[in-house]
Amino acid sequence: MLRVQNLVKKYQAQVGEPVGGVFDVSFEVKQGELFTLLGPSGCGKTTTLRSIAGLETPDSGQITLAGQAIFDGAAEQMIPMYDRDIGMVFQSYAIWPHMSVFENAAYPLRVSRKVKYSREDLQSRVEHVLNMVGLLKYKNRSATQLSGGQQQRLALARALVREPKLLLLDEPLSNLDAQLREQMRAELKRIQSEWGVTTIYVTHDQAEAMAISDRVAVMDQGKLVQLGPPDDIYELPRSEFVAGFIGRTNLFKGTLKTSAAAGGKSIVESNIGSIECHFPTQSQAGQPVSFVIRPENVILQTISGVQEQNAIEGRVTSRIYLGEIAEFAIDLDGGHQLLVRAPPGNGIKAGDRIRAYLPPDKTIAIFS
Amino acid sequence: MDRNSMRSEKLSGLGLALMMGATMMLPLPALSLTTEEILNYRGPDREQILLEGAKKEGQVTLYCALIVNQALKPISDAFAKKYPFIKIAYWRADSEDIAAKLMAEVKANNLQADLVEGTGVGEMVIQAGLVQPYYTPMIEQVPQKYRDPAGIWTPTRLSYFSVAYNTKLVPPDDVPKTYEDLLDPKWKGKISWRIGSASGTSLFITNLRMAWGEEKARAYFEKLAAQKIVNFGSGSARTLVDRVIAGEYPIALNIFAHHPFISKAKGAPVNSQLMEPVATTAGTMVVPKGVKHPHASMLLADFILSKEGQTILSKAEYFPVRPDVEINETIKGVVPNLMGKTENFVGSEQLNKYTASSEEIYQNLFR
Amino acid sequence: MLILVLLILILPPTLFLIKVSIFTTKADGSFGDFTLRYYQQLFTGRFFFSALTNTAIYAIGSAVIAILLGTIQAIIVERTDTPGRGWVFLGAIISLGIPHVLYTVAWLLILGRSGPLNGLLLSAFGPQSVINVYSMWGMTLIEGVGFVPLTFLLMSSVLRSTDASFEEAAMMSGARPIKTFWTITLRMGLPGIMALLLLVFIRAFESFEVPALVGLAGNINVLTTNIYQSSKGTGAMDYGQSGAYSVCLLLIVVGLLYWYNRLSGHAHQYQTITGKGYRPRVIKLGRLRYVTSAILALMFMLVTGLPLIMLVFTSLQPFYEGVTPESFSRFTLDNYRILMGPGSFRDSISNTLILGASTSTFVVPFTALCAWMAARRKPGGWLLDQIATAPLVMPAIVMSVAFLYVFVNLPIPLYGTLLSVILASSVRFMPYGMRYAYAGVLQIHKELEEASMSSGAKQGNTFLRIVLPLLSASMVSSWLFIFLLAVQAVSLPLLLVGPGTEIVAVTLFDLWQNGQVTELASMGITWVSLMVVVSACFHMVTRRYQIMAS
Repeated sequence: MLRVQNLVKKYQAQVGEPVGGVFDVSFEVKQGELFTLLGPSGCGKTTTLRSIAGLETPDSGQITLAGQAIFDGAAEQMIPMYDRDIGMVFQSYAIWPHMSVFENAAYPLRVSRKVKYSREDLQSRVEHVLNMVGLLKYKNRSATQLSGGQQQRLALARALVREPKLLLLDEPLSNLDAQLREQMRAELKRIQSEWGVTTIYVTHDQAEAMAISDRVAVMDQGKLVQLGPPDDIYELPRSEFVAGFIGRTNLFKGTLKTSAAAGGKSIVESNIGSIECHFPTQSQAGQPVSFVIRPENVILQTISGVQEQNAIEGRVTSRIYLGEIAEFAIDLDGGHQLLVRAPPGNGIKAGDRIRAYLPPDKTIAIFS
Repeated sequence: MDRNSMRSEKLSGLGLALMMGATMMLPLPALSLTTEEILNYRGPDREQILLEGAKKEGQVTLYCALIVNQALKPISDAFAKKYPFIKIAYWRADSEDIAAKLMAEVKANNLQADLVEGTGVGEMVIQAGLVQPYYTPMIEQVPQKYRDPAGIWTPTRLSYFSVAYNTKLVPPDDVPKTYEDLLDPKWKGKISWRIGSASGTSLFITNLRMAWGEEKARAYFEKLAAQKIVNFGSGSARTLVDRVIAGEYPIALNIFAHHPFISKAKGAPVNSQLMEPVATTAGTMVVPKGVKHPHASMLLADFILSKEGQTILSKAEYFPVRPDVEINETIKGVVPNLMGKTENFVGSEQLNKYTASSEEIYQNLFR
Repeated sequence: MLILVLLILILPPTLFLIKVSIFTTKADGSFGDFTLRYYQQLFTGRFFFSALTNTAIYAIGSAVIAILLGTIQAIIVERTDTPGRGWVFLGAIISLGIPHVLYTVAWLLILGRSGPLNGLLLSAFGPQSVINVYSMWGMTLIEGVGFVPLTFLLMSSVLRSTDASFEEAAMMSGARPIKTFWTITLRMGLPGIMALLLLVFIRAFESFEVPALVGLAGNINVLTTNIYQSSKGTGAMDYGQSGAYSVCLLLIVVGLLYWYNRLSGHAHQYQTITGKGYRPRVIKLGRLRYVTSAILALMFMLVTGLPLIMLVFTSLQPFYEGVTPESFSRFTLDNYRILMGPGSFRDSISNTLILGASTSTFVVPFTALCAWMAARRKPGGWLLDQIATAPLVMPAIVMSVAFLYVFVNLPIPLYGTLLSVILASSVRFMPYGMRYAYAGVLQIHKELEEASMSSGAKQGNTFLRIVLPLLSASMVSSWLFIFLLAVQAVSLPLLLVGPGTEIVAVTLFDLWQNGQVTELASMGITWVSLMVVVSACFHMVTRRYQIMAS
């Protein structure tokens, strides 16, 4: 549905402002999918989104929507934002205070130039979309009387009323409190899949991205560093950045002893010993390499006599009880820390000596 | 005045009081004069007494309507040179504003002014009962007709009023030479005068009422009203003359007669036409009640009426009130006596008597 | 606390005004008997109805012209990429720097019977086409055009602080830029626009110089000149009718403000500066740029350029006789020489700068605080608004007399000091500061303040650390604006200055009363140049400060 190719947008550095920008980003979004741009502030995700929207003019690249080029740097073609068949929800919702709920949602239909809507048609469409977001009974209220969550839903309704080909959401949940956020997250997902609209979602919250996305594109400093379904991003991070950004992780460095095939395993001489790791890509011996393992994948064992591969001994320095899980901070022999998450009922407590086992297929090698 | 001079003024006032108290305690045969006596003193040692007193007072403040750069400042500088021990301060404003300020000061017992000069201000403050009589020997040099019998004000300068016309728009043969000439239908809508000032419409009307008597004047005004005179509302008499020069109005009534002459000297197409009788007024000087520096005030009054002071005024293109002072060459052609016209001197009493009713005539006929 | 300060400042002249209107004034200036005759005279005078009609037409006409031109300029400058748009600010400063009376005179010179415009029409189309500027349209045009800098500055500060996301949302909904502007931007800027309308409309009702200079000569009376004609000329100080008129205006203003407050009661609706604000979107015009550039240039000429050129031309003449070929050969620098020579002009410059700077520096933050309290509906806020806006209706000369009486009677030696002038000046210009600040505060999102207060900051702290910095852009332009107005004021300081506290405006008034228009013109040009220099310095200072602040 949407194709972004070699998008570049550079910003002039100004005193005191973070220098954002996008440097050669490419991806495709399939029809009906919920595609998320994820990354920290300044990574370029919002710039990318606004470029797709037409609110920013990229320096070069192409953007194609449903086969039609909406931006082509080489051909100097740019369809203005008001002529793109895109709906957008802004971070601040931008609900117009001088209009009612109904009028806010109806605005896109009223200003439509290509299609003229009859009064009945307009009425039914607006009511339909308001009903969808659960705001129908407020339709005659002044928009300023809505709560934050309601405003957000109204923004969504307004974006969808034209039945656009693409829906853009710019950090829509960041203004809501935690509880509402979870609720709305589910709502958004529901509406999106019911409506079936291709959606691009921008957020810095990786939990959010994991929860709702069909695919996630992780961005860092203007580049797209990894693209894939949430599980892939989570389980098989391809860089230190992604590993560190998504969820909690343990990171160690070392050198590859023997070459590894793609998808195969090999030993890494690391600062916590010889560790067997899973290599998603082919790698040469002698290369410096890092590897990561998620805290919940580490297995805590009592110390037995048998020395196993990928098992390191250490001492529990703290145990934090989180309800459904407990978090253990381990001081490994040799001086490094390990973070482990395990079911609380394992009887291990602070001060215990334990053995931490790193299952090789969960110990992922990455080249930063 | 800034705080310092006020403080020093208070101190000097205090000093004066202390001194007077001291002299009263000592069995000296010295004379301690009241303010009233100082102001009206005619003894042979007047000059000496004034000098001594002024030395102790040390300052004098003048509220005045003269132009600063040409007249007020030179007078102030010359006075300061003559009496270096008197610090002279002045404040320039229009007569009405001077009157307003003076009224406020006197009523609040916070008098700053020692001497007040202007055209029209005298009348206002006399009516308000804010001034007191005084005597300056210089008055002997001023012709009798310009003096105030009650001795409350003295004249400082004369003003003559005439008709101005644009020499390009009004050919020499058509120039109106008498007031009756102004009634010619060809001037309908082409004459203007200044409203809203005591020396504007009301003076014009007062002048004719005095000269011709009420009946004849009234008849004239009714005919004049048919000429649809343009009411010039904002700005001074000078501005009106500028309008005439610019060609906006061919004719203007009751402007200061010397202004067109000054412009004419620069090449402007304007001239002044005196009409019989020529309205004449005088700027007047008064001393406020409760004056704080009477000695210095009298010295200043003397100075303004002295030959030196009047010469400065003459240089500044004012008309001196002393006949022994030469009139400025540029504007000589405006003095009625020299041009064979009679003056009609409208003094304070006349102004007080006629102005209100003249205003009414204006309101009824000319608006 | 604040109300107290305001009351101390504003109550005395207001009381004086009311007293003057209901008591007769005796010859010595004190109050006589109670009387309603001034009100009676006011309403039953022969010319009342015609004057009223004229005033209404005049006020509406000039307000419309000023707001229309000012808004167009503001839109082009703030929201497009028209080349040269920065110069419009310079134009506004210059316009504000020309003393208003002189500005009017310049227009009269241009449009007068013997002016260049009529000269052209005469030679091109014959005597029938000659225009008469001393007419209603002349008055309305000159007053309207004279107000454009004010409306421009206020509207541009409104437009500058609109959050772009409101407009972006509209455009993403399919609305083109013009439609967006019309349905969203303007509607959301409505409180600012209405505040402006209020200011300009009331100002026109109170306006005197233009109707006096222009209207009277064409026998067109508005209420102010009507009063002037009926009460002056007797020689005595009779402000009775003037006072009565002002009291009526005051009541109207109170009513209008009340209505305005009701309407902007939904003020929080219009909050646009959120914590995540984007700078407002600039519309790229493409080739249309040159058209808008031409429009700006045309407006500049109309509002500033033509009068300025006329003044320069006149200042180089020994006397003014219209624009003729001969006049070009008469160019002389005499007028400037006289002005620059030793004399009162030079001496009074420092006092003047102090006066202007002090007035601005007091009024701007003070009204920011009052406006904040009013806009946020803090207790007593609406009262602050009313009181601070009241001085708008008082004629400067009445205010001057009122303050004269206040200061002269004070036991503390305030009379005749520069400080007294500063105080009076602050009172006079408070309404302008108030309207500027109010519109600015409306644009700030309450959230930002709430965040501050939930972090434990008390109200005062919140105001100082959050609101003031956010208001800084509008405060800066407000400062300059008030400075330029305050240094021009003549009638107000006239009675309050004394020996030693001369200010330029009053000193130059001397020249106005006795000088030729040519000398006046040179004074005007010199003054404007001085103002431009001051503004430039100010601009540089604030730029440096702002860089440090961010």
